[in-house]
Amino acid sequence: MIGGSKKNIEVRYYASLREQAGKESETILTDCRTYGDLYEDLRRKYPFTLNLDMMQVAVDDAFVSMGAEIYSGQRIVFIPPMAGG
Amino acid sequence: MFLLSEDRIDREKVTADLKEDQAGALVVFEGWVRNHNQGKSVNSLEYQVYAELAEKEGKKILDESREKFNLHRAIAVHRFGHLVLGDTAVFVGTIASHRDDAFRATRFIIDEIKLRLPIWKKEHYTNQAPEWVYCRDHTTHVHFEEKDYYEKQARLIDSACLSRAKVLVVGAGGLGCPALMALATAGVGEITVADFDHVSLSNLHRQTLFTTEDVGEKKATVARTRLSLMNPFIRVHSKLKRVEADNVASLVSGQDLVLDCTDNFESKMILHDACFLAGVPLISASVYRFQGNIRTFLPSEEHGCLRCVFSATPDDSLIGNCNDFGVLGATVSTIGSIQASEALEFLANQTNSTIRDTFYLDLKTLSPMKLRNLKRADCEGCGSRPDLGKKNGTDSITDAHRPSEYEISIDEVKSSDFRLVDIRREDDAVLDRLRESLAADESESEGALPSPKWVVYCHRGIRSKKLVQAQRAKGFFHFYSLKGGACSL
Repeated sequence: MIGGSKKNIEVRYYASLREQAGKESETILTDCRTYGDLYEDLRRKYPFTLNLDMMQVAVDDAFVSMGAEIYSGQRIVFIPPMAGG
Repeated sequence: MFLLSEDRIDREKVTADLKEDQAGALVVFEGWVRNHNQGKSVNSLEYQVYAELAEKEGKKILDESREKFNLHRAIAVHRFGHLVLGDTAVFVGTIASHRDDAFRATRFIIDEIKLRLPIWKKEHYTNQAPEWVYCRDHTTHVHFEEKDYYEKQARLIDSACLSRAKVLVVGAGGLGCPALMALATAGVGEITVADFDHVSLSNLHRQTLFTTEDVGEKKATVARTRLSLMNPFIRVHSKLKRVEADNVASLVSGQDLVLDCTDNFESKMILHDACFLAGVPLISASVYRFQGNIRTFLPSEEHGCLRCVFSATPDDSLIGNCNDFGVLGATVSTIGSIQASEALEFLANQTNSTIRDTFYLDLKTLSPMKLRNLKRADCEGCGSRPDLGKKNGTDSITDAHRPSEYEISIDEVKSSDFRLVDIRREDDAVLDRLRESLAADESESEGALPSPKWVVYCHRGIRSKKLVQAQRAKGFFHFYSLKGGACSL
């Protein structure tokens, strides 16, 4: 991994992720390629109970595919499913 | 002054009190015992009264009328006991500075007395047994004008659009209660409430349609009663059903819009798939603790569907619901009200703000988010290889309900054994009539005739598609719709 591939991103958490991460947002340096990779990486850091296939991810106010590539400077929001009512 | 009297009402004595120098008008109404009612010959009457309540309520009516119509004085007297022909049963008198106020107030008072007082009337007839008569049957709401009800919203929204609309609300809980109230009071003409559950005490802190008196009652039934009282100008139906794969098609069929106010993914998925297949728009809302979201799904597929998000139904036990994580009345009421607001916007203008984006709101921090929806090219629902109906929960939504199965082109009609039926001059019951005639043929021939395939067409193929879809929802698969309608012939 060459040093320049680290990407500076802002990650925001929603609903149960916010509680499990203990924070609303954070800025991190990552070398993960996709959002899916990033979520799995974050799971090693925080006790996230939900599997990747139940998650949605939004970047700069639009939902994107988990397999899409991360770019530096992005604001990434992980959103768990909600069903209460 | 409100009085109950067993003795004859002395007009002179009562009107003596109706004097005041500022007054420019006196209006008096007297209700008399007449000799007939609904074709029956009446001898005499008997009134029974629940006095304590009647006096309290009667006084309230007079107070309201004085306030509402600028009266100087108002008097009402109601008889009870036995009355003979020609007796005055009710006396109402009002004085006001201007005659219009006095006329309207007098009318108001007598109507409210008929509607609200616990007084029951028994009629004695010339040649049959006496009967209790329910005055409310023919006098209810005479003084309520529909346009007055909507006066304050008329500048904002087209009431005619709303009164024509048929909306199904699934779930009369924390989201459903505020959504139902907002739709009903805004004047959505026909509302169906679907909920299988009973009211429990732990519902009351957030489910604002219910009171302690309703604990143990069916939610849908109570909701129907309460909404009808809130707005007498709409129709409300109740379905005491849980949404299941085998009843969902008939529930959503014929609706202009469906609101998903359920609290679990299994129901959300079943409802979403059925609406998608039936071509009915759906507005779905969910909450988690202090957060909620709202999204509108259109069958046009342009902005994706719920299957783009979850190809399989998420396991409800992993997500947690109100029982596990708690829920606050203010949060669900806000989200349910926004959902209703999106519904009204959609009904009035065929568009809203949550078609392109999903709206998220955090009530704790008041941070809103609008996130552009993602359409997945390989989606099982709206993608290039649709596979809807074969997923968990929804197995019974089979291929036969899919528009691609029953919408056929004119080329397919020519190459196969179809009968074309023009329904342009027919009403919506035409397919029911055709079905009955087919059933009659079948019973005559003991089922020996091969079943015909009818291709129905209207001008553009939109109405025919809706009617065919409704028949398929009822389990009848002989009808097809001509794509493009008469324009394609």
